[in-house]
Amino acid sequence: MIYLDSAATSLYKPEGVQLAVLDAINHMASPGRGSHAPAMAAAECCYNCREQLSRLFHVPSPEQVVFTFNATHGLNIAIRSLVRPGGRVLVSGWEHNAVTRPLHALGAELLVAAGELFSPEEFLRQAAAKLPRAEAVVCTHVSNVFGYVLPIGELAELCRRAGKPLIIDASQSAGVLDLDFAALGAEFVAMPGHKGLMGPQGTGVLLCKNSASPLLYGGSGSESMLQDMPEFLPDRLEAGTHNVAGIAGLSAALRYLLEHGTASVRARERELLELLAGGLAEAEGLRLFYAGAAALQSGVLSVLPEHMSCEALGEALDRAGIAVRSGLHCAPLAHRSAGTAATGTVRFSVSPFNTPRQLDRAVAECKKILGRG
Amino acid sequence: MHDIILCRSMTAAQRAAKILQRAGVFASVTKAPQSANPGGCTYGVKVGEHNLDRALAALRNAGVPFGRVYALYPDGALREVGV
Repeated sequence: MIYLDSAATSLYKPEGVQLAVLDAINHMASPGRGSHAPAMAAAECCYNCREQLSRLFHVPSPEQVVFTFNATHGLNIAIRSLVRPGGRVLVSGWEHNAVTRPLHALGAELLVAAGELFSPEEFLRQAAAKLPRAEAVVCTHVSNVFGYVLPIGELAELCRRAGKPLIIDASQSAGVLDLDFAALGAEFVAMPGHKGLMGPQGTGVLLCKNSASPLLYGGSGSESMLQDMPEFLPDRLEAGTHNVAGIAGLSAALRYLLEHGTASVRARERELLELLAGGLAEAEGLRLFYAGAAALQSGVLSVLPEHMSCEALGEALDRAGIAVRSGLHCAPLAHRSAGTAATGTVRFSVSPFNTPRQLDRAVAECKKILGRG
Repeated sequence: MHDIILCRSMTAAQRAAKILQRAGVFASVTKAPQSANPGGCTYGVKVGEHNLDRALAALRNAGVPFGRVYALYPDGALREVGV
């Protein structure tokens, strides 16, 4: 099987991730719950992981690194902390349901800045025009459907100047693109551990500039006499037992990323994306959403078959041993912005561990299927 | 004899211990006795009495918040140290 669905979950992990998970299951208890050796080993593991994340994302203190179950969990905390019920929020037209559903649940009014796909100037013009009416801004760094890299640095600067709090959804960029939390000045950055960071499923991270409103209430291993959650991070947002095995795996994956650097991951994924796009461009009856310019697209490529449904192409590829994802990818807003809401797309997404030979085979299978009609 | 510098959380105590170790002060994270914090469970860093001033200076330099400081007697008794 050739796995080309890393935008959903990384399947190929750096060496050491599986062993770290196993070691944690065998030897670690829960951080902040006692001072015996297994509890302290868990605490050490979690702290090391916070330090690694601080280093990778330029976070001033490890206490500002909060563990979540996934990016959605972190986004819910961030949105609930900054957006009032019925509040007005600026979002990009490329958001995932992890952003739009929590906003909908709050009855928020969305001010959408979209523009054409791969047109960052147009997006920024729309964002600047709508920003004065917004009380907060939520923006994805990279579209999970199209790999479109949004101009997050420029948007962050607009927000800083206007004094508007910014939440960044780094689900598709963490581990792949440079992200300087301190320089961006965002209020929150949410990310999963199991995509570009290449850790296990069930891990996530929320980087916090200041404190936030808890989403879950319960034991934190601190200030136990109080019935309110502690005021300080990370305890305020980490009620209940941590996913220590997952965090141990994430830490092993981060060791790989810190050693190799996100620039090398990005370069590798770009090389693979160009191969894939070049090959698929020769296929019959296939529309590619390909930017061409490296700065505008991550390792995600959506395509739209002209003579068959996306689901049929996805299933045929699956039968041929190529794992891709077809449909709306939980991002109907992004599809509306691109004009693909009626069909969805077939999404190919690469990992630094994919090989050119794998992509050659995926392209060949795709051409064969489309040739059959 | 050892002193305990209280920190607000396990994570804060771990951060403090790392900073102290980098500053050349041997420090270990420890669960503080319940009597040290009426608010409930808390953690701190344990340092040698002779290192306390150096430890506090290192934490202040690094901007790491800390709470009260206790002298820990061999029988487990605590006495607050004015800092």
